[in-house]
Amino acid sequence: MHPSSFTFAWRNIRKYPAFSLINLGGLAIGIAASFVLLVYSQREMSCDRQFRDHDRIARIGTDFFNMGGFAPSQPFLREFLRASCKDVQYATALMSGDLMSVRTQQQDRAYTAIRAYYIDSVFFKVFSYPVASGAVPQAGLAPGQTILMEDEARKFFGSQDPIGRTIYVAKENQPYQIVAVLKSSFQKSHLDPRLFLPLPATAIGKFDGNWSSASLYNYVKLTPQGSMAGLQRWLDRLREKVIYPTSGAIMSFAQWQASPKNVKFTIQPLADIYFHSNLNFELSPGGNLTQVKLLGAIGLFLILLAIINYVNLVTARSSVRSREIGIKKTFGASRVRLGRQMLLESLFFSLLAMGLAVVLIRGILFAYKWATGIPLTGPMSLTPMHYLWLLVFSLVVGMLAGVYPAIYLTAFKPILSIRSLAMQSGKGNGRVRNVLVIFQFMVAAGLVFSSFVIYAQWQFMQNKDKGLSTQGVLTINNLYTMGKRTAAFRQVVEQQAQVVSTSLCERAPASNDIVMYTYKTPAMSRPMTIPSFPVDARYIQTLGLHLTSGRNFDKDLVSDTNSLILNESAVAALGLFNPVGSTINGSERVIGVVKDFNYASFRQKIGPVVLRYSQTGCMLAVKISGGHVNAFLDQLNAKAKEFTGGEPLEINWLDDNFAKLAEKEKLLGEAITFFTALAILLATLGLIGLTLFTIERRTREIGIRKVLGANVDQILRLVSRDFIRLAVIAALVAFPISWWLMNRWLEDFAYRIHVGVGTFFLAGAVIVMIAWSVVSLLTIRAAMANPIHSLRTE
Amino acid sequence: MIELKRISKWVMVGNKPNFILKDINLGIKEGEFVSIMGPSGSGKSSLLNIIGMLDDASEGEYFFLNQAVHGLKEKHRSQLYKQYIGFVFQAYHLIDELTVYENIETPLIYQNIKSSERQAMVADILDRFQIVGKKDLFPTQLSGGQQQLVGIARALIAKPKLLLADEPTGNLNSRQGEEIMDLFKELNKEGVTIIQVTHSEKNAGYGTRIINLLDGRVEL
Repeated sequence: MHPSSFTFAWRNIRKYPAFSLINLGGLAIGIAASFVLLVYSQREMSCDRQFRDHDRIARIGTDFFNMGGFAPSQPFLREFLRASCKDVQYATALMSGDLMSVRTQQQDRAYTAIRAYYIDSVFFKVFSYPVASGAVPQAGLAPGQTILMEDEARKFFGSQDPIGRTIYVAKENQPYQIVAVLKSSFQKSHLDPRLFLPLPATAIGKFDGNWSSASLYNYVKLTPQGSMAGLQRWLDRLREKVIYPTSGAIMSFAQWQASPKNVKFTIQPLADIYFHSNLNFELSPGGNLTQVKLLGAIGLFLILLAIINYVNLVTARSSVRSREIGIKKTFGASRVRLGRQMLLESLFFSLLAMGLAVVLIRGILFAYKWATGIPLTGPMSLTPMHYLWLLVFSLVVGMLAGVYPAIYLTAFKPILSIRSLAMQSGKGNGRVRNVLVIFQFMVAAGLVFSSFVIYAQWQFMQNKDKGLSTQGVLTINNLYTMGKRTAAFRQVVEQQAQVVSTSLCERAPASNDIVMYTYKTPAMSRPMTIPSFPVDARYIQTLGLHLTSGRNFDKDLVSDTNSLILNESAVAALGLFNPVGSTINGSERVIGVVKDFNYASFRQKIGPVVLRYSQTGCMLAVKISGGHVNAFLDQLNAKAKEFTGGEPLEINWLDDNFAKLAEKEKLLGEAITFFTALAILLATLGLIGLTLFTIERRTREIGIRKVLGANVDQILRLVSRDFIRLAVIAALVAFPISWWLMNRWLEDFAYRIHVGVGTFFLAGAVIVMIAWSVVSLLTIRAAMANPIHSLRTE
Repeated sequence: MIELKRISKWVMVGNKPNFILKDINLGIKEGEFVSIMGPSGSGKSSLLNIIGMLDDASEGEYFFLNQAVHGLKEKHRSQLYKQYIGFVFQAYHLIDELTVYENIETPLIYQNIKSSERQAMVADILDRFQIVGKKDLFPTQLSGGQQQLVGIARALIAKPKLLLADEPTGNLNSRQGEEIMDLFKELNKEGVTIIQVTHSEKNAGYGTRIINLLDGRVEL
């Protein structure tokens, strides 16, 4: 029987194992890496779109006193919506609980840090979560009922049926009976509940006319006829007819709208929340659209690199294949038939590569999680559906990779092919191959350059003078558990040998806290809302702020209760020329100025800040020096038990706060570095293949030159020169493009690096070094070989 | 000029040595024109490779211009043959990517000869071989005889004392072959020592001496 195309392809693979392995490996890496990235981008881009009618769901946030906008809004807004908004079908309010402990037996050890959402009766009418087992009660959760996510149910009960069982929640061991379990989903959502509990009636409370509160997240589902614009008009009317009159202000509606007392609303369509919400107290960290687009683009580049590899390697071997094709043609095979054989071969190849890619995908996901600590595609990694897509994807890649070789290789005239003089007519093909290699190196060079820039910016953010010293500073956040014994606890802390200084305050830099006050100098017509830090007299010392003029608060001066310390930006914003001694808000006196210090992301410029003297505070900032931090914390916790009634201390490190702010950049940097490494690997594989081919083609030439007296050095230079030239051209094309892209990325930062010439040289050197070492390593054997072997006449 | 003493060459097949050359003793004086003859596989090319220092003997001593080649390091040996030996091949072995001019020039580049000097030397030899008009053509644009002419020109460009030719007319028709052999004879008259490997009695007749090889031994 005549061998089928697949058998033929298989024999071809076995005949040239090194070559086939490079080709297969390259294709598999390309398929695996780009598939992972495409899945990642797709998951991010479709965040929250899995909910039925997601385009009819929106969240209403609020803002008052110009505090910057909140994702939660007024607790009783739901009742107003239900009562009179025609556009809304369902209005639901949810409360995000703290991280809680859960027990399955009252005496068991607890599962900790479980995120609970308190929901009302229509939550599941708005959000269509698929149910795994049990049933969601139509009237909503009754008191004492709970719903779990699948992962949690498995964690608590293993393979046992959780329905009807009881869990004990929080410190009080409040019992709840499980009525339903929801399916875990691959899809991402800005809602991340692990546990649903019924929203207590007290959370909504009675309408008290106070519109300056935001405690529940209000979501609405519009009626099929309803519109966001209609909802907006309803909210505008609410402001004018209900909120403005209850404010009791003696001003017109227009004046009220311009004043800080004004209450505003923002409607956020569900699908926009993940990428575009910049409101305070967001339910979960948002996504970064630039990052998703960038990684998606890298994914496309990687698969392009892999396809180019394949095309390059297959056409590079045209001298071998052309003989075969020539012979077949002489015996009457049509070009279409031969083309089909080439295509089938590349399809076969891509299927083999897919098999390898399945393993690699797992490897990449694992390596990524290991390197960055964060799973790239969420907790579920991949679903069976994805493997079907992988198959389709691989076949498409196989088609794309096979088309050019099929056209190119079958075009030879049979006589030429048999005599293997194809080389001469292959000059044009060499040019195509060079362009493709340049393209591969361009992508690699661009990525290397970009990862350098991102890494440098991240380093810069880590090392920039923040205007404060974060090292060894921690805050203890649950002083409320101590009540009146806070002062005594503080004394105990201060007695520890490692403690340098402590400060009672209400706000730490780079944390989630928000404190705003309004300020007005006599010269200003309207007051200004400025972020404020209520702190005691030791704050400046504990956090290492720099006092540039005036003095610190003094706890012995009674008059200091009305004192303020401004940062330099606040001095400028309030238009003060001699800040120290000036009066604000009629009675508050400025006693000092501190250098600007970072308290938020580096993307934003440091704004005005006011330190206000306060002797009470909800947190204790502690600066420690010396090592043995863990021993110190253990000791502190042991001592704190008697003050907190057994609860562990909630401790935040200032360094961690800042690290969290830079997390997006860090993640982006790590992801880019990771996939840059893969791109370089692909480009290198391509280069290895081409070099091997070049050597094979030039063995005779190398032999002749050696006989004519060339030494190994001269041979190495001869072969690597061409490749290095390609790498240099690639870098020259890639750098301006990636420089432009990176500058656009850097524009988002108020505090940013400027890309110097050094970065270009460094990235260029990396690329050229890689090209040179790959080519040299491979060529050295051929260059050392005895020429009589290559010049033997047969 | 050349002194081979008890030269043997073998390769191991399994555990047994398989002799390619066995116990060869040979002396060649300057100005000789030697033809090495013998059936296929008799070791002609191997002997030529050893004389050309492209290959090592497994055993024995080789003196070239009274220098002990067998004791030399690779680097010195290549210095030696770069300076004194030119090679001509049956398959010409021109570099396809280079023009006639560049092909001839190549050995000079590897001997670090200055560009202006190179130009003069190449021009001389192009003139002498009457191929000035072909200097910008690529090897594939030439006939076999012309290609071999270029090959010989290249071998002679560095003014070697010894010319080694492995079946120089093997790929040529008889008229072209005669031309090449006439050229060899002329070169020999000018003082170039020539050793050629050949199958043809007629070509061997151009030489001053014939060495017959059979199964790796010199037939007397």
